[in-house]
Amino acid sequence: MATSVGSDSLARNLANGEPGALASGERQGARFETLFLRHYGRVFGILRRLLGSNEAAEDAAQEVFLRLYRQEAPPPDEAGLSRWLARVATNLGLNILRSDRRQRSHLQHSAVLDRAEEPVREERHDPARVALAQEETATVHAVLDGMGERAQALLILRNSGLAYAEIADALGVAPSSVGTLLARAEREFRKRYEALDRAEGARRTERGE
Amino acid sequence: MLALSHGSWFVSYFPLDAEDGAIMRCIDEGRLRAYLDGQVTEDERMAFATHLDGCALCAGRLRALDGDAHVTAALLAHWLPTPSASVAPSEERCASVALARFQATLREEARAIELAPRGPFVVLKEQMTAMLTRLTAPRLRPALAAVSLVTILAVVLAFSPINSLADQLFKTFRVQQFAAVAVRVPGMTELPQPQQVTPDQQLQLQQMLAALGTPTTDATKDTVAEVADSAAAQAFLAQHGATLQVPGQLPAAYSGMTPRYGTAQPTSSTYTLNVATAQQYLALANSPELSSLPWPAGVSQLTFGLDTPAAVATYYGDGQTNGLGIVQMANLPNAGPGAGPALKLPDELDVNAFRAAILALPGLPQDTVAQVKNVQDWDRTLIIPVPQDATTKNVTIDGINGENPGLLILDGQGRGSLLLWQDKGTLYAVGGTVNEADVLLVANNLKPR
Repeated sequence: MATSVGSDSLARNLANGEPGALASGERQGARFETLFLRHYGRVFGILRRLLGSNEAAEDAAQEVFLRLYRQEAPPPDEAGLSRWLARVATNLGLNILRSDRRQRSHLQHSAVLDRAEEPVREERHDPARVALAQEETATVHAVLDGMGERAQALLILRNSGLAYAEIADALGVAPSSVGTLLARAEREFRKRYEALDRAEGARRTERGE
Repeated sequence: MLALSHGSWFVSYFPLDAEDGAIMRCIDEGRLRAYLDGQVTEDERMAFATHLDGCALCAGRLRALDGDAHVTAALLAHWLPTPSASVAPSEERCASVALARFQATLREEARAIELAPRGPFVVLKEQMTAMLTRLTAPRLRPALAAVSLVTILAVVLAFSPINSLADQLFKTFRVQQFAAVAVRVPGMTELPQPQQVTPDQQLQLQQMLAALGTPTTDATKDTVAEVADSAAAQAFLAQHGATLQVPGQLPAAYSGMTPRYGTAQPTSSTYTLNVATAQQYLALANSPELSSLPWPAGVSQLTFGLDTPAAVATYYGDGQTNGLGIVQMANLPNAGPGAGPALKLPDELDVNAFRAAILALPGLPQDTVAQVKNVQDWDRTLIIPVPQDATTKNVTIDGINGENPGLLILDGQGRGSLLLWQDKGTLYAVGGTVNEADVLLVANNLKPR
């Protein structure tokens, strides 16, 4: 996308369409406030769907607007700004999600290993089933990691409930191509998952589990 | 006909037979996938359904896509966060609250940038402020804060050891020792205070607070500076007749660390209180006791003076969460006995009457009254109000010029401590995110550089 003009900061540039010709900081501030109020709901909505909680989404939304505030070459018009915000929100949300999941899948992986070595003490949950579910999550993480970034993003965004138009905005692709890309990504995901799952199943059998 | 109204993809995949309008080609994979998700127009949906009815190939492709989509969704469901059960806040409220938070962040950053070059004093002050903020109630309502401020002002007036100096032109007070009095900060509720203050009234109170008095100061942004090393700090203090004291021992966490040094020039400040505004405010605070304080008759303004001496701060730490600071205030020339800043009280004020009135406040906690009354040597002792969950003790500092009584304040959670004492005209403070033993270790081992 990157429809940038000059290197004026957003506050200066977006303030009244006259880069560098601003009278006062107050007007810049007022202009930014308007933008903030107009676009916040959408940014928050994307992040809430990605991150699952109001709190996490609020924190991340703050970061998105901070990036906008510091942007040297912000999009010059509303439509561009809207897409820019959607994309930044999505990328930030995806990064938070990925690093969060990475930690979790790592923990779960260790937990699975730990559990394998200690005797089962309680039957409240079927430990074998819990371990399997945790292993499955780790496998999902590994599969996603092995895929291209765009395919990964597509799968996560769609399964977080974003509409095709939103996905198109966020990924900078044509709305008409979302279906095609999604179909491809899902096929790839399933294939990779099944291959990895088979490989792990074989390992488990070897270990005599 | 129907199909002609759609986009170009439709025309290319569904060219109409000139004869009967029958759909000739199969559906693009992307559109099939969109159809599964309901992300097609109503016209498309109907056209696709018709086609799928008659085309086994497309129906099979659709099933395959559906299978992939379901497997993917089921697996990702474990991986993705569980959607929050809590309802998303209403959009407008949510956005304006977020905007306020955003602006606060910007202001905070601007402030940090502005203050950044000022060095150890600022860092020290911020950490001390942070500690005190933790110590006090996090969310005092503005009105309560205003009441607290006026109360504290009144307490300062009331408790200042004045009577022995009453015949002097200026009633000057300087620290010779410290005493702590516990104040229930969140529980200022025990003082008479507004019960129900509306937001409008709160705003009014804040404006009044600004109108309460006029501060003046000769301090500028250059008053406080960072200097390169202990030699420069010593040279600065020498101009003001003092010798820099450096720690002979440090807690393990700070040992070997190179400190930063800050210097502060002596300053002179005044605060001119508008008596009428103060009375008006106290009346608004709905507190008959406070509004009947014995203000001097016929006096519209009272001017308080504060002279602070030159000071050096020595700071060890990361500048973020952990730090240890030593502040040393040189003596003020011609300021009489005592140490540290000199507080000059206006002649017109009958401080004894004020003190008596405050101590007689019906709402004042009895233990506070008792503690205040217990303080001996009014003309020598600075009363430090401390929150109730803090603990204080009197300690003896083995200082440069012999033994000196000091006041040690420990916060309730053991996160920080502060030690104050004076030694022959020099006021010292050692504090930070360190425990009692470490503070005493530093204080007892200060030595001339």
